[in-house]
Amino acid sequence: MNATNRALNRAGILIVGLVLLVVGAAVAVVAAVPSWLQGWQDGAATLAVPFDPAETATLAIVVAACVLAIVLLAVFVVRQGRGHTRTLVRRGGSSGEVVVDAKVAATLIEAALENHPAIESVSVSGYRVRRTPALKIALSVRRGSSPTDVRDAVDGVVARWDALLGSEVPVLVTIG
Amino acid sequence: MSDSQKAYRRIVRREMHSPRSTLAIALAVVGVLVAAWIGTESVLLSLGRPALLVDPVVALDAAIALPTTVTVAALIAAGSVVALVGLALVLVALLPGRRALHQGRTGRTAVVIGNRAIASVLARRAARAAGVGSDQVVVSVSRRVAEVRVSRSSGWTVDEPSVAAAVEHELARLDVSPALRPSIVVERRGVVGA
Repeated sequence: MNATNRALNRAGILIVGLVLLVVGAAVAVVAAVPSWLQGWQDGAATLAVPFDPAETATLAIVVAACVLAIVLLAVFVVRQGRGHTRTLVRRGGSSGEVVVDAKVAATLIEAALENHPAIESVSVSGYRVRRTPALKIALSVRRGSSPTDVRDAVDGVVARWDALLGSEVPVLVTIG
Repeated sequence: MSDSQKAYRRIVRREMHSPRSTLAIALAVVGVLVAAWIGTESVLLSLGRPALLVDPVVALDAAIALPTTVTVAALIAAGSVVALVGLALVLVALLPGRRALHQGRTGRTAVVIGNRAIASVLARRAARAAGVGSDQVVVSVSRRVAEVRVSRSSGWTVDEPSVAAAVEHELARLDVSPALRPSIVVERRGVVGA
C-alpha cells in the first residue's frame, strides 16, 4: 500500500539487466568466433583513449558524475516504501480543524481484535493512497482457523469504527 | 462508491504483486559503492596520492587490453556469466512477480489471504471430514489449484466424497480470486499406527 514507484524499480532493474546481457553476450560471442576475436585484439592494440584520464579536468568531470550518481541512487533508495501517514482524517471548518490520527484507529482496532481466538497478532497502519488516507489491517491467524470467520470479525470492528469516525476510509485486510 | 472501488482495485493489485524493492535497492547500493570507489580513486589520483585499490588509468588500460591478456575460455566464461545475470535481471523486471496471495470478495473492506492460511484451513476441514489426524493431511495451494493429499490410517478407509465436499464448502466460503480448483488425493498406502 506504500507509494513505492514500482515502474521505476522495474525500469532500473531492466536497464541494468539489458546492459549486462548485451555486454556479456557480446564478449562471449566475439571471443568464441576466432576472426572476430582477432579483430578485437587488433582494435585493442591500436585503440587510443581520446582523453587523458589523469588530467585534472577529466577527473573533475568523473568525480562530479560519481557524486551525482550517488545522490540520485540514494534518493531512489530512500523513496522506497514511503506513503505511511499519521493523519487519517482532517476536517476543517470556519472555527477550527479536527484531525484524527491514524494511531487512534490502530489502537482501537488492534484492541478490538487481539483477543479474537483465531487471531495471533494484528497490526494496523495508516497509508496515503493517491492522496486519500487508507488503513491496512495486517493479521496473522492461528493454524487451521478460518480466514472467512476472521474477515467477518474484522468487518464488524471496521463497521463500529466507521460509526465512530462518521466516515469511511478504504481498509485493506491482509490475512496470513 | 466507484471511487473507493477504484482505490481498492489499485490497493489490491499492488498488494498482490512484488514491488521488486529488494533487488532495486541492492542494485542501487552496488551502484553507490562503485560510484564512490571511482570517485575516491579519481580524487586520490588528482592529489597524486597512491590508489586505494587500483589506479583508474591502470584499470582503463587493463580493460582495453582484456582480449590480449585473458584466455579465450575465460573471456567466453566471464561473458556468459555476465549475460546470464543480465538475463535473470531482465526476467525479474518483466515477469509479473505475483505473491502467494489470493484476493477475497471486496465489500466494505478489501481482503487478501495468504496461500498458507488457505492451505491451513483446508487441511483442518479435510482432516475432520476424513477422520484422520491433522498430520495426515498435506495441502498445497497454488494460483489456481488447491491440492489436498490425505494419507489414511492403515486398515481404515477414507470417505473421499465427504472430504471433497468439506474442501469445496470451505473454498465456496472463502470465495477467492483467482478461483481455486480442489484436487483431492487419497494415498493408496495407509499409515500404520496413526
